[in-house]
Amino acid sequence: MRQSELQGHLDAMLLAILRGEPMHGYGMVEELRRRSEGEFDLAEGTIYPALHRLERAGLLSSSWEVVDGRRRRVYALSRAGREAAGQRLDSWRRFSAAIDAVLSPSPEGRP
Amino acid sequence: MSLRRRDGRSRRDRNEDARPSIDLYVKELSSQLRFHGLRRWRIVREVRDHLSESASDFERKQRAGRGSAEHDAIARFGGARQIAAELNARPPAHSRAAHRLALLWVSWIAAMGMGSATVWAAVEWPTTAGARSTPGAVDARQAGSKASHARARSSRSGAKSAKARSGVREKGATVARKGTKAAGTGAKAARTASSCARGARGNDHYSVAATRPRRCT
Repeated sequence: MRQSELQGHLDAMLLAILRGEPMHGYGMVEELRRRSEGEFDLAEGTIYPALHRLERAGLLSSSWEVVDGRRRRVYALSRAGREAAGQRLDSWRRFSAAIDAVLSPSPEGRP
Repeated sequence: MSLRRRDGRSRRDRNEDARPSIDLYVKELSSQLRFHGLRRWRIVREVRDHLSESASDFERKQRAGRGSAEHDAIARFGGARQIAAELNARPPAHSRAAHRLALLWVSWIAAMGMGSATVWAAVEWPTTAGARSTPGAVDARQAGSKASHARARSSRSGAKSAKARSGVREKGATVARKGTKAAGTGAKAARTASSCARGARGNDHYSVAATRPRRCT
């Protein structure tokens, strides 16, 4: 998938990944790759501007932690971030269902 | 002409490989950032950690050399200019507005604090028993001062001076008691007011030893 197509959904994807557990940047990239089964291969560095933007918006919090002997900046969803993640998921489901209905309409749905 | 070795690579090529790619990349990214301080330090640290971990993973999985692992990690990370440009991007308008509002709020609080401090400093503080001047105490001092002036006038007036002084004293004390009551700030304030009134009746000064002599006016 093209980078430009992914960029518009990056914030929502990062929020969705962090719904599971707090994670550091590299871990999020790995998780994104794993969940998309290698389909989403975005430039890894682009997640940092997104993470910092989300943190400034109060949707994420972060702190330095030592994980596996390495010091890392770990991100977690704030309460507002958790709500935003839920809202974006609902919004995406409605949107993708509508797009899907337009792109591949069922035979019964045709006038 | 550059000296070539058995593997067909020049000494310069080999030196290029030996250079710490991640360090160079991070340096370039840092030079492109338009912000400083903690934020810059943090992003540089995060990027370095990310690249280092990515290179280590690649090195382990692909059994590659460190140099090529670092190059691969950097290639996957994206161009330093592009990342820096995204990091430099201004926050959206609503975020800036919230920032301004917060700044305005903090400024207002600071101004109010400074104003209060100035007013507080303008009020004279008696130093006895740590008591503070209060509006009631100030009233009492003013009343006492008036009493003092009246006493001076009455003493000049001749035969009735003693009687007049007595009356004025009573009046000063009454006003002082009223001022103390109005202040309503407890026993310390009351003591301060009474002390002031006594001072006014006496020598127009606080009758306490203080580092700075203070007047009751």
